[in-house]
Amino acid sequence: MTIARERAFEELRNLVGEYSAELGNIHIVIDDYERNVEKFHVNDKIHKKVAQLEAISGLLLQEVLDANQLLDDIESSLDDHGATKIKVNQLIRLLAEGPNRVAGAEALEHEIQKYLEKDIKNND
Amino acid sequence: MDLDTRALIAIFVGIVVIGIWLSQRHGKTSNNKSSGSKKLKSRPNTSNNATAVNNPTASNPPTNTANAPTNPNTASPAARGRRATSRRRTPAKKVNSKYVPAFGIWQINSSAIGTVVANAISSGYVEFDSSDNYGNEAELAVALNSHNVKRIYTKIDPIHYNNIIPSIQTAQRLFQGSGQLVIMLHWPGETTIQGSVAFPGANGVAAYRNLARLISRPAVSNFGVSHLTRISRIKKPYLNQIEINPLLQQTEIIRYCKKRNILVQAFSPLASGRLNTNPIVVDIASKHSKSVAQILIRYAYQKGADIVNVKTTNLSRMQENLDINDFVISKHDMRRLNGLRDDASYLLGTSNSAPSPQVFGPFQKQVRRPVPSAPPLGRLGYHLNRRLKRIRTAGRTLINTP
Repeated sequence: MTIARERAFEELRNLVGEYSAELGNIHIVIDDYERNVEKFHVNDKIHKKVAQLEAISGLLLQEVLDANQLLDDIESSLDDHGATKIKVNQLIRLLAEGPNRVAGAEALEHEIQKYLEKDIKNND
Repeated sequence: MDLDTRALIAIFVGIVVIGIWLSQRHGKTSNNKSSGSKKLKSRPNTSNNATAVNNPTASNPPTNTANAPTNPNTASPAARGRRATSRRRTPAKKVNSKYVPAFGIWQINSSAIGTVVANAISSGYVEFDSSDNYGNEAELAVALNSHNVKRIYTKIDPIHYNNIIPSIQTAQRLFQGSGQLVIMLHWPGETTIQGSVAFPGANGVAAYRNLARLISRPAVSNFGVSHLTRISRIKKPYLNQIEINPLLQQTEIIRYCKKRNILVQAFSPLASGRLNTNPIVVDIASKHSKSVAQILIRYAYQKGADIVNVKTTNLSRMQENLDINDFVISKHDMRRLNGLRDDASYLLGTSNSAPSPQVFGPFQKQVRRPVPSAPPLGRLGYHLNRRLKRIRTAGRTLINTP
């Protein structure tokens, strides 16, 4: 493998690592909601939205695992140009969904905040 | 005309001039006398005032001396200004109304809360003061469940400042239907006390901004003048709860709050028992045939508190603490009590566990921390997109490089 390819592969591995770490932040947020959801005023809509957020986090987690698996596959197929090309495109396609899911999680998070605030104002 | 005639004319003119002068002088004297009689007439009013102040149960309300001597509409602007000033300074505040302290539950054993609260309500308490870090708030909520009291005060601990919504909701859920709920921030936020950092990361301004956005009567506790000035830019707080007793008088904060119509709530009026045997307080108490506690509670009210928190588990003392409306501490005795001021108490309060507002420095202008309940997912999405571009580039390099 040439130096350029080695560097490109290392860059790919680092980037997927960072990607995984940042998706981990979403899990922290969701864990925070899970911990607090018991403290929140009983509200079915909030529970529903938190469940949706959890579902998104599950998908993201699965994508991170799949991305790491694809990286291993790419490494083992580097000598086979055609196979590498397929795996790299699979990886890019997979990770391209990530930002959309993050945006969905962000929208859900805003909705949960909105419900909570509305609930507080109703009780004030 | 001969010399005698001229002399007679001169004498006549002289007599006329002296006569006119005397008559003018007489007129002035009589005017002065009449104004003096007016002053004398106004004196009984003043004495009536003194009687009313010393005896708030007197049926005659105190007379406003500013109305008596002259018509305010015809008085000069300067005189009107003087009267307006004197009216502001009149200590007629709530002389004839009845003070009912709020009942605090700090340090009351949670197992005893039910009995204590029932006794307090039967004694006549209608307001209760609590906090989420007292460890007995849930028990208070259960005890109040079957009663509808006037108002409940609760506080949010600084550890929840960065995620305040669950705390507000918990308070609302606990005291739903028990009475009007006033939620306050317990302390201004992070500070350093005796070399160690207290309430690390707690941002009082951000927490207050969220509180003010979500509830109609945001309140605070242990906030000083600089803190109140800062948060008033967001929304004027409804109430500020601070320690007030002869050792910790907080005159500046009280003055600030009064000027801006912020209610002042006093806690620890008994100075955590540190004045129980003080000869000055004991002397004033014996003069009024009252207990030391009653004198100190009354002191907090006369010092400017709108609400005073009291705490006891003893039924007879609960009733005693309410019996503070049939006497007034004189100005002389107030001055004697003011002389007990102890600046060393500012550090941790008289209870040695509640730092005064002076301990907290002014809010830092640049302190803006991300609130975990609203994580920067937008920025995360932006970074993920940028990272994806780099992944595509690296992938293409990997594929296209032989």
